[in-house]
Amino acid sequence: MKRRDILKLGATATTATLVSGSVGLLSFSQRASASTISVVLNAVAGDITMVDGSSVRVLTFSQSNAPSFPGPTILAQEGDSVQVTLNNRLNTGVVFALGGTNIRQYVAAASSVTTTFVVPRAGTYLYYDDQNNGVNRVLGLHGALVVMPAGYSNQSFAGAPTFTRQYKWLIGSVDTNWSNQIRTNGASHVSSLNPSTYQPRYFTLNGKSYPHTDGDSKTAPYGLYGQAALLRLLNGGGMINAPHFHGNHVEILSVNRQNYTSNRKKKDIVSMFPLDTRDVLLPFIRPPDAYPPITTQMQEFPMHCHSEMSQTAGGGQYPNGLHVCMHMGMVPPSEPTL
Amino acid sequence: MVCAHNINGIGGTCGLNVKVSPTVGGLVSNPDATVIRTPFMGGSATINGTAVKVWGFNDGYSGLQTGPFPSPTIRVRQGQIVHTKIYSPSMPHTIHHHGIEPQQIFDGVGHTSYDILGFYTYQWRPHQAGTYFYHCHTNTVLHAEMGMYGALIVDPPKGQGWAADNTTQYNVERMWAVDDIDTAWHCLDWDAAICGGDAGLNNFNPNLFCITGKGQAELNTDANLASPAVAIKCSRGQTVLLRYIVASYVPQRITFDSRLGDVIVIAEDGRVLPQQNNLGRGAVIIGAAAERFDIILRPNTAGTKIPVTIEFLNYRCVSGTPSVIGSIKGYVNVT
Repeated sequence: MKRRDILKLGATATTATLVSGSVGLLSFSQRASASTISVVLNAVAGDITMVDGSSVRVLTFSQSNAPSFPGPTILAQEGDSVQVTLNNRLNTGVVFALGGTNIRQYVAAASSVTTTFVVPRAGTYLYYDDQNNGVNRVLGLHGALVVMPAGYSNQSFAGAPTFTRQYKWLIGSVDTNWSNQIRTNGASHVSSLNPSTYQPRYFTLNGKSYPHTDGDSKTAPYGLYGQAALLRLLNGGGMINAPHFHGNHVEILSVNRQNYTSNRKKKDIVSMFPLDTRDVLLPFIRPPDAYPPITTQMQEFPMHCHSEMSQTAGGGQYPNGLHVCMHMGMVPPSEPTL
Repeated sequence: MVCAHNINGIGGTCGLNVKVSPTVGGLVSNPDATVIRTPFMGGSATINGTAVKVWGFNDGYSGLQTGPFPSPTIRVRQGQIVHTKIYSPSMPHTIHHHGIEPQQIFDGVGHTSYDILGFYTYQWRPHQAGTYFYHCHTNTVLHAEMGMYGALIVDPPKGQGWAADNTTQYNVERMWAVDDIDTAWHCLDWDAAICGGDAGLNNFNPNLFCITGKGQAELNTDANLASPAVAIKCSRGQTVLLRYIVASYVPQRITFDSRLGDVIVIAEDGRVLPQQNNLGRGAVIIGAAAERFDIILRPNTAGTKIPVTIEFLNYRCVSGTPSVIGSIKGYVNVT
């Protein structure tokens, strides 16, 4: 796709926001009782297309044989059990580890293991392959587990502020040199990659770079004024990021699953080291420093990483990186799912 | 380091929305404060003894192609209606007031409003005192690195001398914009790789570090800490407000010498913390790119060149454990 077409696509997505959709649909409905959620994760290698059209080899957890960068989101509520059947189709061992917990399962090359665990308390968790000092994770073997609190469908923990919509924002980054080495030598080459040689060249949110992030209902936040969005940020990539919010400061609700029940900070930068998770509330208030004040006018502001190297694709093409448009005073063209 | 030439005219404008002196409605005719900034692209700064090409903004309407690094501070008061006027005669630029949240058309982001050629007025009214900064948001990855930024201070209703909470009084105030510079980037063109191609803008290897434009050599040779731009000079028992801007692209680990006493953070990112955060003596703060910290110090131990040590961390961090790629010390004299 040519760059102009990409931009056109972004413009089309923006126009579509003018069409009204249904309001307030949540991507999660409480169940009366706990249950066991079965998830099949296939560890697969495959190629995905970056924003400039280039193809890169990734290793991912997927529900099919095609790569899924990042892996599928597992959505549970407190009390649930998750049964993960991990089919490893790579020629190297993989691990399913859950950040912030002791849950960890190794699966040898070309074999399958089923493991069951009770989900930890409500929050946002990165599941990932923790081998080779992060190499496996950064190549794409990561995804999100979201645990909703029992009895709540619009709060991330008891006592948290309510939200109208929730989004998962999983940060990734891609080194084409590493990808080429995996393509040439196979997945087992992971143990030969030196973490200190990492040079990310593409920067993604939920696997997409701007402007493709903006055409993705799971990624681009929308809301009428007062319709707060919960953003669940995770960093599965190999870079220290600094997401910056225009238009609204966000309220920090949880930092690596530590919940703040009071005295919450309001930030326009959210520090995201690799493996970090943050739950923040994007309040969708009228931009507070506007004069004359905003009443109902629609407004669009970027969220972008301020470690600005992340605002590029293939060494340039600003701002086609970890960057998304936030649409205020608008309902989404289609409601988000996690 | 001298570049042969890195303003080759307006080549590619992919992804930009260049407008010549666009007019928008809603501007008041009598703002409470007016700030004028003119971009320049032929400046030079000496950092650690090395001459580095810089771009930035001059105060007022200016024909100069050189100017200060960083750019002059914007200082206004909470609640004022402010006009920031940009005059960009030759190349498109913008002014984004980072942390200020105005209307979209006044946010200074090219692709959601305009990249400005000629004149433009940004109208905003800060509702919360604190430490912000401003920078160009055109091909930001390059333009902010080149030095197109400056501090933006919003004083509380009581005015200068009072911190963002409007209740903490200070005697001494310093603004530290702490930056990292990759000199290999400083000869790139205004529109570097904006239409594709590889300018290496994903590959950042800072080799110079500075506090408000001064490198370690400049800070060290200032034996009496005479430079008011950086050096903090205070008497025992005085209250210091340090407005700390993480102007770098990589994260920073900031370590305060224990002789400086308790390190108290009262605001971050232009928002007063619900409770003052007393980090104690010898505190360490991790700052991510573009974060700001309003820090209160009340040193009670006399000393010369008491250091605040800033380590810069590699942004590439596959393992999750960051490595240090450089450092600089800022100094405090307590009498």
